[in-house]
Amino acid sequence: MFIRLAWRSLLSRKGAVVMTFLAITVSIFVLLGIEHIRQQAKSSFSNTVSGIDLIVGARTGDINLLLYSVFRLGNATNNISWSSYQDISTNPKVAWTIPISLGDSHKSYRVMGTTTDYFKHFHYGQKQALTFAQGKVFSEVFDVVLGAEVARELNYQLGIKIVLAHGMASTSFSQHDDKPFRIVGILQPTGTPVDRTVHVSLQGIEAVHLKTLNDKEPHDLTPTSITAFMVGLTSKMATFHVQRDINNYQPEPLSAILPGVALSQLWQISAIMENTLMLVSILVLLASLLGLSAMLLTSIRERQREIAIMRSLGAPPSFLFLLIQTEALLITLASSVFALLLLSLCLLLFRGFFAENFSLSISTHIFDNNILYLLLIILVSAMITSLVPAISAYSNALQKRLNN
Amino acid sequence: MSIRDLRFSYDNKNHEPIIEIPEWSVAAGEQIFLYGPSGSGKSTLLNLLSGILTSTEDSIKILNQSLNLMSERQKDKFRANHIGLVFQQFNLIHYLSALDNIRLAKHFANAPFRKKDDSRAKELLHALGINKALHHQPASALSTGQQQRVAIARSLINTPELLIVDEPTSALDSQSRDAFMTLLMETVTQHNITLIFVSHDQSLTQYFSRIVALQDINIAKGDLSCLSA
Repeated sequence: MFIRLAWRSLLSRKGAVVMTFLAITVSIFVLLGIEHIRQQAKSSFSNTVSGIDLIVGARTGDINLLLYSVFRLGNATNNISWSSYQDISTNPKVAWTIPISLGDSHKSYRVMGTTTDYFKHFHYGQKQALTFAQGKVFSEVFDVVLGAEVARELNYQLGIKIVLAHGMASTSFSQHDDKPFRIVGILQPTGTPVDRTVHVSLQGIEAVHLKTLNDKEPHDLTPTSITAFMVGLTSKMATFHVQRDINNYQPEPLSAILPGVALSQLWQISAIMENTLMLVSILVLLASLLGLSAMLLTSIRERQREIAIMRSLGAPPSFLFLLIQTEALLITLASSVFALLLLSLCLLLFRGFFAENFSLSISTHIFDNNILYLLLIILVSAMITSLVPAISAYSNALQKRLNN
Repeated sequence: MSIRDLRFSYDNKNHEPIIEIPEWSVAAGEQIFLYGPSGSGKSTLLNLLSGILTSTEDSIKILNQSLNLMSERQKDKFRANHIGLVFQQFNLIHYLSALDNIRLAKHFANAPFRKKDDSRAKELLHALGINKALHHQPASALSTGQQQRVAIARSLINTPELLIVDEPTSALDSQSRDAFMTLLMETVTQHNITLIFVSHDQSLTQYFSRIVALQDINIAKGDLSCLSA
């Protein structure tokens, strides 16, 4: 009876209720949408690398090393000598390593020289391995494996020959057009910088930088230096020990970073932007909830006779208090459900847009603990902002209303 | 019902009491016609009798229970269980159906609405001339006369011992008024309900066993006109 009374009461004031419902729906949609995209972006960001214990580069800051080795952004301050790399690789606590050599590009996409260990040991997301959409790992010096976005954007297929350029400029004056690479593999999309990377072997990087390359003349294509390398350890317990050893490495100054720690440091940089967005959406929600409160307060004035009738029938003041609170709850609940449906629909429609334009893999699954926690906060806030009209209904003198 | 030394004043400047009744009693099952000029305090007295208004100096006993010894919640509960109220107009919650308005009264009596209560509500509506087609109509779709009859049905659903009716016929034409009065008197007689009926319409006195002029029991000098002054 109680819920029916509240529901019928709301239906009797359709116009004002629908407008309030729409305002709250939009604000909940914005708040939940921002929170969901923020969570997804954060998760996508922290899932860029997985299962890598240390990243080693020339002595530099943690974030800089992370940016150029994982996100392919910026440049290394120095290279690491091949002998140092080999020395550390043979440390008994080191299970595997992935050398990285950067410096070249192809149509603005970074070229990364590495070994086949990269395809074996590099993981992203929840320890997901790299998989091939087409083709296979490079085996020849001039083989190249493309990230999903590179292949899609440049419309490349297996077997096509491409030319690398020195440096990062889109129109480089130093093209290695005498040494084209043949596409032998295209990776599945990962939602990480891997999608925007052109992968070649370390020998390939060495080869393009040789002045002449004669098939009949043997060349030593062992690199003299690399940009960085990723390390997997035999035991997680050894992480800090190996990190300290590398940071104190005598032959040359090196930095070893923990990718997870550096990623969260990097994410902190965006915290101000993130908090500002959140603050704006909270203010939008607050404005809507105050609108709800104002609507209910106005309705109390219109419903004085109705409230008087209920009191005369024996309705205790607490009943009227709860009635107003229930009405607020029903509007907010209906708005929340509608906002969630709207958000799911929008994510379903625009997930492709996010993936293509921002390399963000947004899940349509919106019911996580954060969203449920936010919804709970929204409902409690609605209850709090409805206290004023509820108390007004509670305390208004009956006699005044009956005589009016 | 008995009143002893009842004194009530609104918070007006001179604190002149509106109601001052040294003693008055009504026997169980009695049907009282109470009249008096506008502003003489009739509605105030009814609100005091139903526990809606409270006076600190009163001694109102209904069914041998002192209203001034009850908490607000106890008064609400007592009103829901023992007193039926019908006003001049706007008696019903306009967006609820006739049947839901009656269910609401049962709800406040803290008695869960059962199927047999639904049957009783329909019986009451039928007895008061509200046909089945109107049971689920929102109150706002009913005529004034129909609304008054639904209000009577609602006031009787908890079988009150005391029924307080405040000028219920003022909005009715003479034919509807007579039909309404006949039904009301039949119902209260049948259920042995004590009736306090307030009206200006002296032609209705024929239906009552006892006629009381408010000024005969109320010795207060003030009236409600001083409130608006």
